Amino acid sequence: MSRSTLLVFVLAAAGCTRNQDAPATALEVVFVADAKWKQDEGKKEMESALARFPRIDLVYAHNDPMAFGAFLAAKQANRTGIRFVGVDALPQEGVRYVQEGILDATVEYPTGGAEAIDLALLILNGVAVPRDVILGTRVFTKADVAQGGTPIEAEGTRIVAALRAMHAAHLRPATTDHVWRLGMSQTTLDEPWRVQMNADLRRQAKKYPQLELIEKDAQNDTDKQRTHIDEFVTQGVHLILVSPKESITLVPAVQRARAKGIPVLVLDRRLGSEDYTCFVGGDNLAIGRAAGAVAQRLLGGRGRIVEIQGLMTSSPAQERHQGFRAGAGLPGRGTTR
Amino acid sequence: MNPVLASPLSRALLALGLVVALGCVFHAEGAFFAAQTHRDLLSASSVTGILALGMTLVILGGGIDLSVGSLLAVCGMTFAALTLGAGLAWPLGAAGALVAGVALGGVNGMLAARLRLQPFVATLATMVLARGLAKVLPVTLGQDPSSKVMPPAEQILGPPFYQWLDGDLLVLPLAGGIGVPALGVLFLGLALVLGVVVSRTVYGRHVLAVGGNEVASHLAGVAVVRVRALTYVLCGACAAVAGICQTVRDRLGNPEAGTMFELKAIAAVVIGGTSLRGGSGGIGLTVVGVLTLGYIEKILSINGVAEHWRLILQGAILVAAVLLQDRR
Repeated sequence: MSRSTLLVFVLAAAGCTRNQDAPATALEVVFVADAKWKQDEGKKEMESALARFPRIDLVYAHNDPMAFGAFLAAKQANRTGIRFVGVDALPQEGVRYVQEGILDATVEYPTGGAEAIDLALLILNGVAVPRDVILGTRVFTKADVAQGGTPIEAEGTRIVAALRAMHAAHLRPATTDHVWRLGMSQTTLDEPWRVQMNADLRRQAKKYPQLELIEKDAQNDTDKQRTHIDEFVTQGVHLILVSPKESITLVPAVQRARAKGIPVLVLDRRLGSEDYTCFVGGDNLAIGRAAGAVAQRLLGGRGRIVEIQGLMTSSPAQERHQGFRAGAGLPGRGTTR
Repeated sequence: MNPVLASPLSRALLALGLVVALGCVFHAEGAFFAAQTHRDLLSASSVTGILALGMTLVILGGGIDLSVGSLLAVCGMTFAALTLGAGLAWPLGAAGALVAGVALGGVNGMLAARLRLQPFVATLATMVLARGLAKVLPVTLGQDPSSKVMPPAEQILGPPFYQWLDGDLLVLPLAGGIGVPALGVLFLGLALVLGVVVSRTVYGRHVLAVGGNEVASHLAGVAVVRVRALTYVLCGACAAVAGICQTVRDRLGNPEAGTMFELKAIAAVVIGGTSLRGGSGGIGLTVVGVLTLGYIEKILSINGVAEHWRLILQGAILVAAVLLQDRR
């Protein structure tokens, strides 16, 4: 590189320098990084953001571990006055971080476990249920974490509440000789959130002696999950629950089960066809919007934001990003450089 | 060739210098010149750095160890289970982690050195096995497999030892205070010890000899199997220290920790200038390689470069650094 080219680079870099110390006049995302859902990556990216911006008012991370990592970085750098907002709100993780005053807020990504069991019981009792049940979320802040957060309702929340009220007679523990067997195939049990989903399913199923839950772990293997569905059919389960790894591959197996008259209830990720009985899942766009609204409220409409993203090739991260910008009233997509 | 660039160390330092110069140009509004940036970089690099130290020994001895990332997870989880789960004092936790690392390193040594399996295949197997062990460890605490080991309620930021090791040992009264991270001191201290072992002891000379020419070493009376097996054991011990460091950085035990770190460690060794063919290189080179990688990551990060460009640039810079190192 010639000396003059180098000079151009230095001047260009110096020309970018602005006064970053003054208070912001509006909401502004000043730093965006893909930390791939990982706590330690979130910590490292936050260290860079802190070195670059003398004033940061809020960190929005696409999950709670990355928000915690960012918090650790700010603490190490002795930087105070920064608010932290995460997503997921697992009881032992995000909710606890809010209780301990580490995060200012976390937004729940509902597992749908309890709702799925109740819907399954209704389906088995011959009650017609809607095909798509999109669940709401809950926002946990320091003020309301003790009361279990503030719910943000969605259509699915209302549907489930109405069904529970209307068919309360079916949703009672019943001791009978006839036990309904439910087969559940989980994508993987390597993610805390999916472990939580299974725990929620198990806890709700325990309430009903008339139900027996059979859990299988596909260990991130689509073929294994397809085999699970076929095995459930051979075993003669009365209803299949599945949280799909991959939407298209499972379609034929699910069709075979449905052809045998076995209802199939899909959780979290969509199936690649319309051939299912019922879908229960959260809405990452709505979750992002809720996080954006919290950020807007915490900052009173002005401040510098750092966004620590999950793996941006995954749809949850993309939706949590888009939803956040909409909820905080920020324009456009704002990622590409 | 320019005599200044005749030695691998000067070439490694030149690569590091070029990367640092890149940082001086793309300084991200002065962020690169902040002392905290370099402190953070040293602290964050120390985990893969410590892995790279152990990896250097194995590579010098003519082997390779793909299991270090998983070993890091097993040892880090062991440390977390003992200190956070069972509430034991940190020296006990550290001892437990070291035992796990040495034992699994011993398995590697047994498979690769004594049973003469391809080290690539043998350590690929232990990589998978050790990841499974890390995931099953929470069961000993009555938790679900694959769950994280969290600190107890009143210590959400970890016990005092965690905060001490993840903090600064002292703050130098220069340029408004430069923190000296404990993790960085641990990394450099360990590098010093292993550097002396490699270049100043009989064992170190034997490792280089075995890696350089196994048959000749055997004929010269070197206990080839024992020398080589010990490199894997020492590498396992390094993975244990790295696991403790990662758990301390995270303030919790994560069974997914260290995924793909083996590649980072191997990259650092190669950029430093240690030959993958074995027998030539050294610990000092690896320290320079670790810092070079750390600076590349840091410069891309402070400039907020988008993920796709980061991967492309990282790959390109790696090729350039290795090409520079390969000229001989």
